[in-house]
Amino acid sequence: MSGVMVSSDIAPDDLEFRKLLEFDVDDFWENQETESERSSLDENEYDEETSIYTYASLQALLRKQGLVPSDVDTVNWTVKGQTIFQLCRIGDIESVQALVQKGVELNVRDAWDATPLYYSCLCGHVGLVRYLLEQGAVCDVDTFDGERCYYAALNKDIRDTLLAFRGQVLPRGEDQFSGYLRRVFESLQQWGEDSDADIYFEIFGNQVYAHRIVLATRCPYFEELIQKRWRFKRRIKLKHPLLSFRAFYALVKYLYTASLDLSEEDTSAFLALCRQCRLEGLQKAILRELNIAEAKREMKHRVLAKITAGGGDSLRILIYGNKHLNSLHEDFSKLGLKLLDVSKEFSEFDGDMESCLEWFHACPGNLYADVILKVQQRFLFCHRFVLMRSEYFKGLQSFRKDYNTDMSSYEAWTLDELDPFILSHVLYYLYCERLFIGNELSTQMVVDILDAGEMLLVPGIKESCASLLIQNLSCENAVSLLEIAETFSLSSLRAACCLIIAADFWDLVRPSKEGDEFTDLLSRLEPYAARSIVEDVRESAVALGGSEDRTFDEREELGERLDAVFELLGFTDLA
Amino acid sequence: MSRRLGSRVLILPFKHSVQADPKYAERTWDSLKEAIKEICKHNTGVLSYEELYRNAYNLVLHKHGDMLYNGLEECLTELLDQVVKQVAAHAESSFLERVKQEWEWHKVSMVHIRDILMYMDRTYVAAKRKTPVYDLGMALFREVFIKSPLIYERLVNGILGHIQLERKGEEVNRQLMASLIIMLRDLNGEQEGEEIFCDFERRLLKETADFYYGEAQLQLSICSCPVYLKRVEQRLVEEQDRIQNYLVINSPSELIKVVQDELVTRHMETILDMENSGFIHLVRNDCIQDLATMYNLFHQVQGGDELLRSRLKKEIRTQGNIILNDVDNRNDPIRWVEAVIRLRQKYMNIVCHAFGSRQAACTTWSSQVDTWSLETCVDKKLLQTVNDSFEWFLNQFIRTSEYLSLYLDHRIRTDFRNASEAELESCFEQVILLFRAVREKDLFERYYKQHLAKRLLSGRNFSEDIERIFIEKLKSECGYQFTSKLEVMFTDIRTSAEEVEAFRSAMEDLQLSLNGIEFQVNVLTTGCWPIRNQPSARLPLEMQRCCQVSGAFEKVYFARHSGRLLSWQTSLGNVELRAYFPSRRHELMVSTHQAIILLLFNHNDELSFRQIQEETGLPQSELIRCLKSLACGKYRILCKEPKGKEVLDTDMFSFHSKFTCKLVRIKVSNIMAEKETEEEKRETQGRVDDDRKPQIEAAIVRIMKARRYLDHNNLVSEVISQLQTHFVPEPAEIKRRIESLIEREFLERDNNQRSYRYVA
Repeated sequence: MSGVMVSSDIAPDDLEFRKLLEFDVDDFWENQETESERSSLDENEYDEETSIYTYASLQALLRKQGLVPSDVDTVNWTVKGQTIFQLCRIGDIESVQALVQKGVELNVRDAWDATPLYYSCLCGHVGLVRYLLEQGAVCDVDTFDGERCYYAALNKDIRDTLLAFRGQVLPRGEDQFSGYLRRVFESLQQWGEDSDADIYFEIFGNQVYAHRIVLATRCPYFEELIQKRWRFKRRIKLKHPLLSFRAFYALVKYLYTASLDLSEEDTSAFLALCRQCRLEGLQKAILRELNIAEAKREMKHRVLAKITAGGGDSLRILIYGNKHLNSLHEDFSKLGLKLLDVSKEFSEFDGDMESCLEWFHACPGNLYADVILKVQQRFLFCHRFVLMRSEYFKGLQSFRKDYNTDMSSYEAWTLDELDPFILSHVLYYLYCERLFIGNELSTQMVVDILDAGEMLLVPGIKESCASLLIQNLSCENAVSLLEIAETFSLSSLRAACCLIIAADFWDLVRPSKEGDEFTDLLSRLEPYAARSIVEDVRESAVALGGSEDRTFDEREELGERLDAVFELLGFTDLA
Repeated sequence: MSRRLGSRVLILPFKHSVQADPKYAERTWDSLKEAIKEICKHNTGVLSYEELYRNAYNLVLHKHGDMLYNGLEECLTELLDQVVKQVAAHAESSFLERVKQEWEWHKVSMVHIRDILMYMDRTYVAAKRKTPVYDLGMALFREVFIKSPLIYERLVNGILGHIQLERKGEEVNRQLMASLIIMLRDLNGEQEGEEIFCDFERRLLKETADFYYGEAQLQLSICSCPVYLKRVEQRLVEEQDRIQNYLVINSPSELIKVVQDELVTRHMETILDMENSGFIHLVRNDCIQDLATMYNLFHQVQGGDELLRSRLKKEIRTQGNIILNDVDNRNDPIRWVEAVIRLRQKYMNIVCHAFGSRQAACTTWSSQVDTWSLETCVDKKLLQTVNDSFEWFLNQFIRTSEYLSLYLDHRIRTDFRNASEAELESCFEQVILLFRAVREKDLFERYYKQHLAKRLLSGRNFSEDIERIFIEKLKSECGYQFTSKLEVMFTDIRTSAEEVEAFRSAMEDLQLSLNGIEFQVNVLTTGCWPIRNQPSARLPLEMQRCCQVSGAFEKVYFARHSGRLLSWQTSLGNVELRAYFPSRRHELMVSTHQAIILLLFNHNDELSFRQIQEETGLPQSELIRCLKSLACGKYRILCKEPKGKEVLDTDMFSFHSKFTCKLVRIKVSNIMAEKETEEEKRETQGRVDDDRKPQIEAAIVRIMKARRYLDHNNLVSEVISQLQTHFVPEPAEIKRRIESLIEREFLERDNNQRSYRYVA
């Protein structure tokens, strides 16, 4: 390999790029689900004689050490067979954290209509209560659930914690991506005309600003309208008497954030809007919430008639959660694929910006992109508000603004030093927070994506790549991935590599004058980094000692070899 | 090389050209340094963001973060040093402008530098806990540029100089000032030696204090009090305006306080006591506007309120003493009370209109500044001061209660016909306000009762509605117990009318005639009327006929109400006489006693005082009063020998045959002791004291019944607090009452001498 490290010296051939782009969108989700099956199939085919550790056994080893969390069952939302309710009762904060990281819904109810927060209050786990509240568990004042938590709290610490979070409006059911979209939406409304909104609605004197692309992506009905009736209009005036501004605002907000906060009086207008826009799933969810709320109110009247006598009894419908977030991600990943699809068509222009733009304007399915990235004679079409997730593009924009006064609706940014194939993967991640795991992705590509993503400061891509790399860790690539881990400070990948090396040291650690891969790597690193790696390998070996497939002799042997490595590297002060 | 995911791939170790070229880092840094210099020269157009970013990224990724960070710091310092030299060379006129310009440029440059070094900010800076790039740029600007000896003093002095200039009335570039001050604020560091903004504020406060110290000295020597106050107010407004427009400091209240200290607090006494224009002058001349200004200024500084209150108190006491010491006033209750009322209105007017947060009220209620909104924002403590002062001096004067009652009597008798109800109402209001300040409320009650009785019985000049208005006010002031007896008096008058009506019809039923006499009786409840039992006068023959009628009345009355005793009070009766004078016939309206005296002259031409006394059997004082009104009053129906104003027991009286008068009906008013004589006063006082005794005893028993056991001091203080609404009992008197109760075995002394026990 040569050149700057990001672009691999073997550029993926055109064919591969095309394959990626021709990838059938509908198959994508099925593919992802069968991913684990496929690797297990591969495992069986794989036969390695040189090492006593097979891929499968190595992965099992990693799992055992907790580097690959396998106990988390994301179908039933359990850890080691225990539901979140049970975990909250026993106060197992680590497992709850693992579940939360996987995106478990915190405001769920069990058969007794109790929430996880209620159980942790009842059983007195202050730390867990705080964690749940921080993660967006709801404890509203003046609601039955909120008061139940407060009165059931075991001690004053917990009550104080609950009070400290009272009134704090937490973004509920939000992940990084939807949180970003919420901020985008809010700044759109704040800046109005000055924002990059390309469509706005006027309803009885109030405005809602939006991006065409979001509306079209999230709601097929809007897509139809935008393509036909609203095609050349920027200002859409809606004056149907049944329409209410608040309901419409809430709908647009839902399309952006996948969460809904609706007061009761707007519900009927909103339901009508859902029907019009053919959002059956949302409509059903609201109707279900309404039923629950109605039942709860009845109960509250019975149980707490005294307490609520004075207070307002207005009802709010809250819709959020993983189901809605998933559909948000799904929609945006479809959008990402479509963009790549469109970009593919432009690859023929071969760097000729002028003719490309001309063609682009004429194209009906141009997806309302407002930024064109020019990468090595290829064009990628993107949306500014998505690109702004990355600090890199923000900086790029502000840097260019100073001497680029021409604020046309399209901007062409050149990123010549990146590989278009890698960049398209990074952009895909930017659009939907997921890696495009097609069957064409190689480990080297993952590393390249990691590098490019890191450089472009794409939030979260580093961790996603690292966990993908851990899943594909084996004796052959352990040492080289260890270097990657060192370079990008990926602690989980580093720990996994050390473990693999400690387990399979026969081939990997062979100190000699000619040098082996491992010793070479250490010699390239800074002395303190090298030393800490050796220490970590040693520790991993101790950790492995607990398992029965390790003999005392082997451990001795590894210790001797590591000492030898030290000697070779010239670390004399360590025995 | 690259194989499918899932089938594990051997990844070749990274062997970068970077590693191969040891000079790579230096070369990259050099290019970055050049770029940073270009950015600082505002030449961003020629640079490529992508390339610079990538270079910085590579440096950081390959652990050259230290080099990059330190290099950046060095480079910026160097650049800023050059800027210092350039700026320092500027002349005074354009210096501040240039500093501002440099600051603006530096901010823009730092944004760009931060953008290209963003990766370092995210990883290297975060891991090593260093100052982020932008903040580093700001800190360097402060340390290298602002704090440079060539710049700092000039900058701060320049800003302060501009502020002083504006205070002296010159125009300055406010926008420039604002941006420079905001610059200092933004650059303020938290560590010691970095707090340039705090330093600036300190110096600003000192300059301000110095300036206004001189200002106060100058203005005080040339201005009168109101003018000075207006100037101060103007200054404060100016400072507020400055703070709002460009003096964006952390503690604006402190700046204002410095100004107030220098202009007001230090000179409060001087301002108040200014010759011919100070506080006293303003109050005496009712300069509401100036007093309001004064109040606003004093109210805001510490100690101002107290000083103002003490001055007001002193002034009211002085004015009160003037009224008290005026001999004319002392002898004329009407004039006295009116003077007091006028005084009180004057001060209330001042307090309500000048001493309150009037501005707030005016802005919120603008057009409809009614009394309510004024009341709500009047300074409560000042109001209290006025009330206290009045209370003090009203109680200085022993006859306050009597005078108040007399004034009231006068107003009701003279004004009730021609004054509107509202006028009387406001008059009552004023009296009640003064009454509130009087401690001995039962004394007032006694006087008031006497006067009321006279009004009620005279039957003339009497309007129940008006009397009721005042009684309602008394009731709300002192509670229903206080007025219950007064109400009985009204009921008596009303029921008497019914009785007489019943009597008349009874007489008609019995076919009895009244002998042509118009007969009118008032039946009064004993104990509720302030009546001294006087022996009945001997009635002459002419009157015996009336007595027959009254005998009949007694019969009818006893038939209606059994078990009651009626006794006749001739001293309170009225009679209408028809008298034939040589000139013409007159109808004389006289009191019963006067009538008795006049009837004597039907048979005698001349009678001596002693003879009259013998014939009528009237007590001497009453006789003197009757004779005085007949012989020395407005209408002289009798002649006195020798002539004179006073009636002596050696005088001779005869019928005045030459009496003429235009009117047919003559009302001979009985000369009332409008003001009590000394003797009467003592008597009233004695009776008040007698009345008080049972009240004090009742209070003691009530308290002891509840407490069972109490020590002396607490008992006395509780008694006083219970009776306060009526009068203030003397502790010695309370002690006497306790002794008497012990004698009567209501209480007993505890072994401990200072405590008492209640004996059931």
